[in-house]
Amino acid sequence: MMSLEDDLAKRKWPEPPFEIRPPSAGKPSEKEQMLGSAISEYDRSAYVREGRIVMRHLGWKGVVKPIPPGESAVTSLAVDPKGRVVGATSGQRSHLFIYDPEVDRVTDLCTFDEDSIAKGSVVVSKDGTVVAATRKEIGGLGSGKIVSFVTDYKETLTWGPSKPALESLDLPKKDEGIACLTYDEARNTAYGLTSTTGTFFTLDIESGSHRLIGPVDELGEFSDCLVVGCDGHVYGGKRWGQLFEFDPEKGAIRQLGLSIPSFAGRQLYNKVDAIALDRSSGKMYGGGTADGVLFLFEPAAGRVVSLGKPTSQPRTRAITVGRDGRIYGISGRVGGVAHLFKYDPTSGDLRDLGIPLAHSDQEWRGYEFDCMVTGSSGEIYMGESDRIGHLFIYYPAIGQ
Amino acid sequence: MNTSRHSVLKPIFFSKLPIHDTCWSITTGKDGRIYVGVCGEMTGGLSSFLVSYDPQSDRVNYLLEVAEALHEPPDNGHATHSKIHYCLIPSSDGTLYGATHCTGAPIGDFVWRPWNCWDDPQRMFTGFHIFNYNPATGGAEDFGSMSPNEGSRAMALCEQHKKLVGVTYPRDHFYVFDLESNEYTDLGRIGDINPQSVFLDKNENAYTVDDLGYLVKYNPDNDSLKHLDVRLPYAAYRDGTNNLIYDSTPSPDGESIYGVHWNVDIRLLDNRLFRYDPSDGPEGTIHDLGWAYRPDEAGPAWADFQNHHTGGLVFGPDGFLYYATYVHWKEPKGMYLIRMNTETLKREELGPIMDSKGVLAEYIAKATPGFDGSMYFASCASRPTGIFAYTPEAGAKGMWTLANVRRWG
Repeated sequence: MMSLEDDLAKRKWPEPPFEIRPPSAGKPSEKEQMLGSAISEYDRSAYVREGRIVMRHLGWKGVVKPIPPGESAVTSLAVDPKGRVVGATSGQRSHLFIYDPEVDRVTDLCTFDEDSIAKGSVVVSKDGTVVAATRKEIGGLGSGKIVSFVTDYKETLTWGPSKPALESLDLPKKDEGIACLTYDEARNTAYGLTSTTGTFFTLDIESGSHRLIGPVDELGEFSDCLVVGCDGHVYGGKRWGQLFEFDPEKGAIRQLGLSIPSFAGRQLYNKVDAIALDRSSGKMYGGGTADGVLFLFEPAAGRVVSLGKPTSQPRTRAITVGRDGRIYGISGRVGGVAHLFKYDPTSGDLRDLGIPLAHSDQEWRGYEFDCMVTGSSGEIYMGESDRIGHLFIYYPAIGQ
Repeated sequence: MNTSRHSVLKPIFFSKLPIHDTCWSITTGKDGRIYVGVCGEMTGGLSSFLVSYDPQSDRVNYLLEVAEALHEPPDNGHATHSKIHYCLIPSSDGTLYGATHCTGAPIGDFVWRPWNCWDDPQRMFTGFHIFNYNPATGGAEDFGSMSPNEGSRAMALCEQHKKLVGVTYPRDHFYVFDLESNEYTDLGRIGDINPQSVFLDKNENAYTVDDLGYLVKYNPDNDSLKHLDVRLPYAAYRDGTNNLIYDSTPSPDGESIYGVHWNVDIRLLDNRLFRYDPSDGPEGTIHDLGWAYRPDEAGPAWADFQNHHTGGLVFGPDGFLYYATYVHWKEPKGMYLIRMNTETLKREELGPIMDSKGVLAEYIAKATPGFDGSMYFASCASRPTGIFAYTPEAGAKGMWTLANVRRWG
């Protein structure tokens, strides 16, 4: 048997693209310069370059400790009437925090549950009442919590060391947490799903009382997201990518007989992953879990249109409608590398913008996101849901 | 840069691997041989190789084509297992633990980055392998692919706890591999930019740092991570951003760890030596030992963005701390060998690290002590690539044993 050393002597090696030389040894060849330029562009090209991205620590950088690793996965975001962003985290403890754009920093308000998931489960009412809810991992202790408090409309700084006075609300089903919440300003009512059976409920913000409507799916398969349409109906997803609606006038759930798109043969794996309302048109935009195919849902017309697939990844873990009329979303599986994408309804342009990379407060690549919301000035907030989470802020490019 | 000066170090090049360009990992086995992970960083389609140097016979042996042994052939179109980064560690049973790493391009490509190819089923990196190599038999045991898409940047062996711990690239997750159960556990993300060293205290607690230089401590008894308030030093005019560790070595008494910042072309930041005393206070104490090597003639550090890379930290049998640092303020530019008296903190420049033709080393990664009284420094950025041996004038030969070899890469 030939020794490795003898074998190496007979090898034909690949041709190196670059010569190794010290900096003082003169200019690289023309070919090397071309390849070098290509590498420079290649390195930048994976990241979002259209618009600008910053991230903020979950705490005033350099002044207080941020929300600790393991407790800082940002999984819920909502904008209050003052334009401040209220968020909740998941992990060993769930925190409530507020970001005030005027002072450009996050304040950790309090913790409100342990070993908990608070995903898509923070809403803020028109009078500033925050409702936040949690659920547990399957097999976890307890069921979850639902709390409310009224935001103080003074500047964030006046929160000081005092904590908001949380009021505990009764869970709609005591042995189940909350899978998601959404809010209808016209009725000052929140709507949600319980975490195990997917039972739809209404929650009166003023009284804190709830009303159980019933499971949205016969097999208990449901999406953990809801959206209120311009018609006041609540829309959501169930098994195999099917859509349902809740009519608050009738107090009833109705199956729409519509399904969101996926690749062929993969409908069984598909559910609505995230969905957002374009208030200007009444149209909704969302993506599916199976393949991350973006879709348009027009409740008034009763139709779903496939818009294509913005990235090569599965999932559409978060989506929002920008003030510029464009749709912004995040795709990518858990444990992967997230990509931000946009869809322009006017031109039909569907584009992968790249991996979110911030250089301020700190150089940081965002790999995991599970919530997005559009701010009062058109900025897009993205909740980073990694072991170490941050609040990312994306400023879309103007005038494109 | 060519120079007519005489090198104070002996170059040992791996000429049978003419295209390989970097030696990121180096360690000393129980048998006294120097083991090196020879890597192909800049050419697509290469495998990493495990090579040994025997100080007794002055002979190089080519031991293992690592990627082939792990059934990840370098011409399969994926990003290659062309590197063993700071992940080659001796075990007291005479074997070596290793982990593979990425960034080598697929064959035919001239560049590869994990972010650009994360979702590319062909060009993606299949995920680092952990393996065990037995020099006595020449056999390699493959523990399998650990985390798809990711490489292992740095690793340590908690031998009493039978665990390997490390950090992945690019997502910077801390991992644990249980050698008894063969179970891989991802403890989650610790930062954005990889630290380049995971070191141990005498109780086998593992440490590395986040992007701001705060120590992250792993407890092998309960597999927990704790972010400490202890921080690597940084210059007063900085805020500690990108305050990452590059290299670290235990003091001869095992009570302290000496380390240095990561400072290279893309991270032109602090380059300070520090000592960490894990037992001094509830979270240990960091002592700033000042700029690694910067005589007055170099001018103020804040005024330039030059390469200040320092690596190859190792204690000699004479009790001095040896390391290599890049000298840019005079000719010939390149890596120089420095030694420091850790009592007085006095540094002494021993001379440039160069080959027999007078070409200076551009980069020294890590170092290891030999049982022959010499120290061995792994070199990067040359073809062929190799290592350098340094024997102190008053070396106490045979003083070091496996107990003096760090159990991290």
